Amino acid sequence: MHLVRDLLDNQVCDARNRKMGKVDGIVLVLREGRPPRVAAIELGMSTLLCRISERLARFAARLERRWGISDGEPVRIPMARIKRVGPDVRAEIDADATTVYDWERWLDRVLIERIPIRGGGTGEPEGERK
Amino acid sequence: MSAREVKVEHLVGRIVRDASGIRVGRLCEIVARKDGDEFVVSGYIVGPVAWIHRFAVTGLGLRMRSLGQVYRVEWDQMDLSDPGQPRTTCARDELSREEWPRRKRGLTRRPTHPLA
Repeated sequence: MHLVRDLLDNQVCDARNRKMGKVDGIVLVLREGRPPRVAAIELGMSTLLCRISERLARFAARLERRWGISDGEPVRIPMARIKRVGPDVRAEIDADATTVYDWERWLDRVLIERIPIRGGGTGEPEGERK
Repeated sequence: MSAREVKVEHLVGRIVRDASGIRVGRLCEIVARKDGDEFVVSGYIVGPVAWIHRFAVTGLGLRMRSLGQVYRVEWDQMDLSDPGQPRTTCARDELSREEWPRRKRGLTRRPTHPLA
């Protein structure tokens, strides 16, 4: 497996085939006298911004905490939970149990729900709304 | 992040030098294999123009201009004690050279494959 080609920046889907985002980082654990272990993949804005600048990543994490979006920590998925690699990386986890949708939930709360149109914001089809 | 952890995205693109400080090339790929229940790094692909292969430039005839060759650094030949400045533990001439695999033409989307 080529880590850059088969994992990095590829789409991650959860056990129910819902898109969780891209693989923003891969964690290697260095060991004395043994080959480095591929420990986990990371998803999150701070991990992505860390490629550009660590200060920018810290600033974004602080902003996420201040605005109550998330705890600013990236989502880390152990390699043992990764079942398929390629353009779509399949992870055997429940996306709702992680913080990957925190930005969507925050945007829904502060912006989408306030849009004064019928059916806006709740994600429910218009016909099911009361 | 603890001192024992290294991020792949921070390693990729770094200039790799050999034990005597001669430039080998930029680290462009990390090869992993399954070892029991875990994935371990088996080697690193380093090349003078290895970064260019990330842009699918097979059509430029790199192979004919002998630019398609890269260095393969085994995991025990790479010193990552300073991830910002990776070094090989041997001389550049001792590293094995290999041809970078040709991309399949006409295949717009690579299939996924199971890890088990």
